[in-house]
Amino acid sequence: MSFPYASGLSRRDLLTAIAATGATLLPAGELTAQAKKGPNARRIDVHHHMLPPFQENMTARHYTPQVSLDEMDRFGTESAVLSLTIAAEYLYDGTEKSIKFARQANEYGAKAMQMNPKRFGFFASLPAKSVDATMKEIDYAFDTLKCDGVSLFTNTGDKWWGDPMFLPMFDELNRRKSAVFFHPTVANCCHNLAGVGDGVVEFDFDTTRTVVSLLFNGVLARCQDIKWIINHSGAAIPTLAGRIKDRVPDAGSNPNGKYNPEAGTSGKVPKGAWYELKRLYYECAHATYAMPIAALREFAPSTQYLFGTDFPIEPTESTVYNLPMRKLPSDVQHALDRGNAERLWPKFKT
Amino acid sequence: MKIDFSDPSRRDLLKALAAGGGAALAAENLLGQFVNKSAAKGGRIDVHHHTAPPALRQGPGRAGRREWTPEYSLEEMDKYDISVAILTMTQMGNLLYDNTEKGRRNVRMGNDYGAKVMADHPKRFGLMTGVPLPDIDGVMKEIEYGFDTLKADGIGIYTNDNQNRWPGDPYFAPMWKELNRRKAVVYMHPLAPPCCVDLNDSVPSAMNEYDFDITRACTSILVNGVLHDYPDVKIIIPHSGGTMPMIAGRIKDRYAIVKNHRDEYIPNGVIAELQKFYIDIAHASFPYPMAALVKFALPDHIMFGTDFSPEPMESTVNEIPKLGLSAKTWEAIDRKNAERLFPRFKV
Repeated sequence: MSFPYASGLSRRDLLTAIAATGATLLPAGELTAQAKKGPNARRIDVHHHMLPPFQENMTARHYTPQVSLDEMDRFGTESAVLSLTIAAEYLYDGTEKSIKFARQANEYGAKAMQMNPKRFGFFASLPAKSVDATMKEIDYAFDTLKCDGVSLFTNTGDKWWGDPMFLPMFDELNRRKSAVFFHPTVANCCHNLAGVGDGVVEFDFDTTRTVVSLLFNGVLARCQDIKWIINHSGAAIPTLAGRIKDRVPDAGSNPNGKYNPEAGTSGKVPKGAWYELKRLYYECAHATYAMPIAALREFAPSTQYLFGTDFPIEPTESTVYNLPMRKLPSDVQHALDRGNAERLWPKFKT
Repeated sequence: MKIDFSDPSRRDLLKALAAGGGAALAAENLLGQFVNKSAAKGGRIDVHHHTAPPALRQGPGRAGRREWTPEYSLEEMDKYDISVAILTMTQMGNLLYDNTEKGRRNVRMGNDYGAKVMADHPKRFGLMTGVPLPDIDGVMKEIEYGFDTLKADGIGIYTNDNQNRWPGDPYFAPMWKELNRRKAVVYMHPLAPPCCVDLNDSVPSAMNEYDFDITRACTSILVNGVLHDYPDVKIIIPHSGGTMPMIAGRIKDRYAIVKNHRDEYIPNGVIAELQKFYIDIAHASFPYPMAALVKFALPDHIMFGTDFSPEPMESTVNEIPKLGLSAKTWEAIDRKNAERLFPRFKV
């Protein structure tokens, strides 16, 4: 799998790219001033990556948790919940190796957390193609390592999470009232399409695919105690929510060609598509532009917003520079920065 | 024309009402938010409206669905003050884009049928004729036939050619060159590409995958400089842009990592290039996509559409009163913006 900015591009490259391509949405002059407002926010970053040296495609990054701490200090981020990135191929191949890799990654995250319990939490990774190993890893990660939830990549190659094979896992996570953070990855179908890099649009599509898969297969309705966290201000969920509602299978949206605006409910979605989608949590990494925030604000209540950055893959700037321009009311801004995260993880409360 | 999108929220409007002094302004703003009545004199122009040529209808359709006829369209149009519908063939890529003589015949049959519907009701229907992609020679012939013989108002293509190629692919260059020469309006309708059909047993590919492919096609056009190289082509995309306005910022920030990207294609930035697309609101006039759309699109690039008859008109028009957009804005969306692309319908 190729991922251009995983190994090659530096923060400077990315920032230069952003500045060069985006004059209309990101006036360069405002950047520094806006960023300086960060340090008082004491944000909790729920989309923040650890790049362990034993992960083959991350060896060259020379990441240590100190890299995260330095960045967090620069931008006034008080705590970060660590998760893996670009690791779906190592986690979901169904082999013994993937089981070991998940264990190793979880111990790496737990260690970072133990050394800095106020600054770090971590989401456990699961070798989801092996159901037994997944159940064992959930027990170990929660009971022994005290993880703060789990992180799932949005597909396992050719399956999305609404597939019935994953139900035992979600039932157990529901029993534990776990947070489940989704991180995009490109599915087998969709590599190298349209002459555009995979990271450009396919990530957001796959996040949307997996949420709809969970919705239509009844997993969201069944697992009411899971705190689902959707990346990038919901990817395409807020903008497509209306079209998703009108396409719930067996929901009778257009019986006899007559439009039923109240539709969107079915046996698997008894309370309706919007009920389920509006209670998901949405983190704002690299999606604080006017368009996604406008759609998210219309769609989901402010109790559901979380702060995220996608650091170190994405520079923190691409999220925080835009955020003040959204001029959120101060209570909403606080809810996004840390208030909602404190409710999910009271241990970060100070 | 300048449209004020500065206060698109209902909250602001209510605030203006409460302020009392602004009552006249607020009343003007609130006008035009009717389901059954357009804010524009002359009624709405529906730029996303489908014909279903009898010979190409696929199976019985959804249970209980009334079969499409021109009269069915006219009845529904009259209900919602739609004076004109610009017809395109709907999602039938398997019948039209099969790269055989049969597909070419189907396209021709559909175009001739559309032209007849238009000739029967010249004031009510416009027509954007289809082309038999991926056969480029056939496409060139059909463009000529559509414009010169059938007097089409534009050309309809799908977001991919059913062979996992998207419209920015250099393969399509002769088509864009000819469309540019004719200053053509192009309707780019989604088609789930072969890569992405039936991915997930409970999620129909007719849903997410359509909206994704609109965005894929837009990025393909962006990175290959189509609208930069062929500036006289005007492309309309449906469903409030699918997912494109929502993730335009992320597309912008990734442009520089696209292999072989060229900065000369984006002289005014990625966003400015993406803002060249005209966007209809069919089945995407919900407050959520509209919130993103009005932040993204140029005010004169947003158009009314319904996706009738695959989609009931109500799923678009019922949302109109909930959006808090001004009468002036609706006048532009309902009619004025489309009039500029299809001047023969100007009142």
